[in-house]
Parts: sequence; C-alpha cells; structure tokens
Amino acid sequence: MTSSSSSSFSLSYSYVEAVNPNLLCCICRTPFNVPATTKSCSHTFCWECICSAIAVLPQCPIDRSPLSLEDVSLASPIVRHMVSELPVYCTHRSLGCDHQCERQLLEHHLKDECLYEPLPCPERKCDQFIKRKDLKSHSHPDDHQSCTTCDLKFPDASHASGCPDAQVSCEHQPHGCRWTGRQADRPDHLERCPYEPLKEFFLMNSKRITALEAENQRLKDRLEELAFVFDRSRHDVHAMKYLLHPWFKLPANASHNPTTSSSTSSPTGTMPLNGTDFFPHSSSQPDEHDPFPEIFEGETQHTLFPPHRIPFQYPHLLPPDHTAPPTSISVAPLDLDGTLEHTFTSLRDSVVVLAKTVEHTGRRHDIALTTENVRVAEELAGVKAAVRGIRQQVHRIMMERVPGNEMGDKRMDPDMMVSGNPYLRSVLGSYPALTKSIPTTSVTKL
Amino acid sequence: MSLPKRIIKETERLVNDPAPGISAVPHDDNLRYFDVAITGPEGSPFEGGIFKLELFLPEEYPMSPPKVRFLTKIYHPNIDKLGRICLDILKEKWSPALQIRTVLLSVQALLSSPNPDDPLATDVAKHYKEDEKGAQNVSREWTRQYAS
Repeated sequence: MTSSSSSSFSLSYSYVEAVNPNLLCCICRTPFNVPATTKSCSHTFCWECICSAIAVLPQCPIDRSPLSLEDVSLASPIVRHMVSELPVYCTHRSLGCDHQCERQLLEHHLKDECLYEPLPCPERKCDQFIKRKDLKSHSHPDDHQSCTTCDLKFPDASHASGCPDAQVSCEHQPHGCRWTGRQADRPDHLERCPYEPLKEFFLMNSKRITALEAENQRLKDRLEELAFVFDRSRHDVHAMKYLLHPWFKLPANASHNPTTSSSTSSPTGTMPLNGTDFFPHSSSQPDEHDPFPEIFEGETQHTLFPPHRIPFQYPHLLPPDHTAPPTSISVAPLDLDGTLEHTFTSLRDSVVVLAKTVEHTGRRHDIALTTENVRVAEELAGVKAAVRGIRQQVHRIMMERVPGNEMGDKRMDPDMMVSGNPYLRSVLGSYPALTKSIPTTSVTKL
Repeated sequence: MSLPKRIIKETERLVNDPAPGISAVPHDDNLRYFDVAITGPEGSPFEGGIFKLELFLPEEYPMSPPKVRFLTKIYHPNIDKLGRICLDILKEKWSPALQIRTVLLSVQALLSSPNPDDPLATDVAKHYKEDEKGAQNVSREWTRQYAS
C-alpha cells in the first residue's frame, strides 16, 4: 500500500463510543477528518476523501452530480466541532497508554504528553525511536566503554559498582584514613579500619553540620528580608523628612533657621497687619521673594515629591503700612525652630487674629455707610424742597400769562414765555440750544 | 501492508451483520479477497441455488470498484460464462460511497431482474428476449444442476 493512500484512509483514531452515522464519511466510513461540504449538493466528506474521489471521477460519490474541486469547501463549523470533539483513545492504547481525550487534543497529547510516543533518540548517531518514558534509560552499546582497569570490553554485572581491580580509597578518607587498594579488598579493610567504629559519630556530626548549614541559610535569608524592610523604611523616613522639610529636626542642625537666609526686609517679629490690603498684595506678587531659597537647593535630588512651596511666611509681602488702624493686630511670625505642631498653633492664632480684623473692618464699614446714608438722605430732602419751590414759582408765572394768551394764540410762544420770566431766562440762558427745542407740552406739565 | 480502516469496518459488518441471503468471508492470507455466497432470490429462476462468487478489493478501493465474478455457472443474460457480471455500478457508475454490501445486494437484485437489453451473454439474452419462459427454465435447470 502506498503511503499517500494510507494517510488518506487510516488516520487511526480509535473512538471511545459509537459515532453518530451522520458524522461518518461515506468514502472512508470513519468520522469526518477535516470535513468538506459540496456547494452544489451539500454532501459532506473528509477533505482528502472527496479530493481523491474527484481526481478519479469528477462527480459526487453520493448523487453522481458533476463536481469539481472548486465546488468543495470546508464544512460548517458545527460539523467540524462535532467531529473534532469526539472522544478518542490514544493511538498508543495497544502499547499501554489509556489516555482518552477529544479528537482535536490527541495531537497535543502525542506531541507533549504521551509516554508511549516513540521519539527519535537525541543522539545523532542513533536512529532508533524510543518511547518517551524510556528515553531517559535509553543507552547505546557504545556508552559502555571498555573498563580502563581490566580491559573488559563490555563490562558485565560485576562492573555494576565499578571494576573490582580499580584502585579505590577508603570511604573514611574524608575523616583521615589513608588506605588505598583494590575495590575488591575494601570490605576487608573496612573491618580493620580504625575509623569504622567512629562511623556513627561521623554520621551524627555530618547531620548536625547539615542542619546548622540549613539554619544558617535560613538566617541569611531572614537577614536579607530585614535589610530590604530596613531599606524601605529608610526611604520612607527620607520621604517624610523631605515633606516635613523645615520642621524636620536633626539633633546636629537643630539651630538651623532658614528664615535668616531669606531676603526679607521687614522685621520678623511682631508686626502690624492691615487686613484690608494684605490679600491684594499677596496675590499680585506671590513669588517675588522666595521665603527659603536655600532650603530646596540641598534637596533637589528628591524627585519623589514635588516641592511644595508653602508661603508660610509673608512679612515681606506687606508694604510698610503707615495708615494702620488705631487697633494694630499682632500676628505671630513663623518659628521654624519650633515643632511642626507649634507652627500650626501659631498659624492658627494668626488666622484667628485675621478673622477678628476682618470682622472689625466690616463693622467699621457698616457704621461709615450708615452715616453716609443719613447725610445723603438729608441732602436729598433739601433738593426736593428746592424743586418744589421752583415749581410753585413757575406755576405762578404761568397763571400770570394765561389771561393775555386766551385772547390771542392758543399756543404759547416759548420764547415769550422764557423771556417773560427772568428766572427761567437765567436758567435756560446757559443752554441756548435747549431754549428752542423745549416743547410746549413739557412746559405745561410743570 | 496495512489494511485501510474502511475495509476492516466493512468486513466486520459483513461478518457480524450479514445481509439476508449474502455471506462474504475474507481469506485468511489476503483480507482483500472475499469468498461470497449469494442465495438465489425467491420468485426468480435462481431460487434455491447458492451461487459462489469471488470478490477482490483492488489497491485503489474505494476509489475504484471491487472486482466481482461468479464462480458458479449461471444462465443469466448479464453474466457470461466466465462469470463476469455486467453491472453498471461495477464499472462506470461506481462511486466510493458504495460498498461491498451494496454491490452484493445489487448482484442479488440482478438475479431477480435480468436485463436482456444490456447483455453480456448475448446468446442467453437473445433466448430471454425471444422465449423468456424457456430461458427461465434453463436458468432453473442450471441452478439445480450447478448451484445446489
């Protein structure tokens, strides 16, 4: 039988249970292997089966309709899945492998797992195939080299533990025995060997040493672990130190005061604060002066935390205030020598003072506003009275003019009206443009 | 030489679940060679006879048809005196979807219904066409004589 036809028909899957007849290829009578369906008549075969059938006769084996290779395509996924999930036995079941799996997984089993899969011997000169499980114990006749001591070509069973003529030393050599001799004589020597009675002691000792070494290793591991933890902690402390910055106190530089280096011109002691003009200043020139320029220079290697430049001190932002209110407010300066808590407390005190100042200013403003209001109201009343007086005057003038007017024109001549009234003339005289345009109705309204 | 799985399966089925009136047993030394026996169908002139055939599965099987031949002498218009059978599925109408069982069933059916219009044994066919009764009698006689 040719190898090609054997690959077509004897892909030797051994199915665990009877397969649904619908999944059998009518050509090879086994479950579809790479199922292929004809487009023209929708019959399904194994791919190789239908290909070889078409090569012999270009028609469908089932209904004899004309068929070419172009009319054949892979079967629908459901068919492919159904056959590839059929349970099969391992192909090496006869050799002893009782593995069973889905058909599609058999290849993987044979390739990577099956202990009965014959594999080529890794030795180049050896062309044998050996079961995977025997691969380790596989050896070649050449592996047995002739014994160097007794020139035996293929050492027999007596050589299992070495040649009897080989020169060996006593097994107590590490403990000090200097005996050497034939392998065959070693048992005799052992009976006389002075170290033999001490064997138990040596054994116990070596056990103890092994235990101690193990203990040592364990301790070493633990030490490494702790060193790691320590490193991490140190890193954390470093980070904290960076965060706390000016408030972090080392015993050595406890007297270090960064404010002395800042270029502030204002006194750092108690200073007056005008709450109303403090904030506009602080926002208009926030970074002109660095409160502690030198502190960060020494710490620039820390990239873990971005530098928070907290404007914790601001005396330089305040202009010399000569118009301070009579109640000058005292704000405690930041004391970088103190503890962080202390600094927070003093900052809080400053905020309280500021709040009080703001409240006080607010009250002052309220009072000033009320006073102003009263003044304006009085003025308004005065103006109202004056207007009323003028109105009455104008009214009287009009009444004087009316009798003369009734005989002549119904309309009033504004010019005459104005020129007849000395008061109006003096008022409107400064607005020559207006004198012409004042309509009669507006005047009568008055 | 390994035997295709299909042939093994077909053989198993033929032996374990034979079609009525048909037996096929492979040779021990050549599993592609079958000894076949077909009983003559009831109501046909071949009733009562047991006809021996040989069946050989060629190398190309199932891409090419099995070779089947009557060993028993038979008086039939589609079977010549050498035992060769004129049956379309054994020649140009072969399909790999067919199998030994279907071939033998077709042969059995051919015994029931001879087709003198597509003859192989022309003289027998002529006899069947001209005098069917007489020809059937000869068939019956041959069956009794050779196939019993």
